Amino acid sequence: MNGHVDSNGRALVTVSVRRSDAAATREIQVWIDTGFNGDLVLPQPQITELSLRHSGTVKAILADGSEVALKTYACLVDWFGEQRHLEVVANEGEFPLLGVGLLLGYDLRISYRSGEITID
Amino acid sequence: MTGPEIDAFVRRAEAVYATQLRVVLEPDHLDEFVAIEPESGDYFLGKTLSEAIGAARRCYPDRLAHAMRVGHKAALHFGMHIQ
Repeated sequence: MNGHVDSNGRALVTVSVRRSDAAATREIQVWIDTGFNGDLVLPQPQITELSLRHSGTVKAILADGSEVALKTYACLVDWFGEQRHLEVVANEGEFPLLGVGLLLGYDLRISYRSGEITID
Repeated sequence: MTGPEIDAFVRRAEAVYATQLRVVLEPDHLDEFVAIEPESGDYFLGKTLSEAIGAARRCYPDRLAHAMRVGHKAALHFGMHIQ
């Protein structure tokens, strides 16, 4: 999987997300965030657009030490040719995040010189 | 679910963990994820949050589950807290 570093220094890759096997796929650009130990965060408006099903809740600790309860939603993500059932976390931020949960078992290379990103 | 409804739901699940599951899970399942369905008190373990909640959804497709990490204050963290 390839991606790029944008002009704001964000390491971006594109993932395919859908509600179910029968649903249409949406390509979403996500920001790789190695400070996030989960799989995927999507902004609430995108979750609503995708009609993802609310599956539960989870507590998170933010960088300022505060705790927040977040909602989780069920989806399918195409990850290296495998359709993975994931519970994505909803937030009020602007950018989808891809966390360490999805990167475990893979090599992540980011060049802030060339702007190239590879995950394999 | 509104903010107050989420908070109440989370409190019910955390009460199940504190009163029933902590002693059962922490000796042997530290760091694993657990999804708790608070109405039944049933719980579902997983190596990841997705595994745990996914297992809860398969058993209770019309109910919500709260995910926790065994032995931890919260299941997820964003960034590092610098004091």
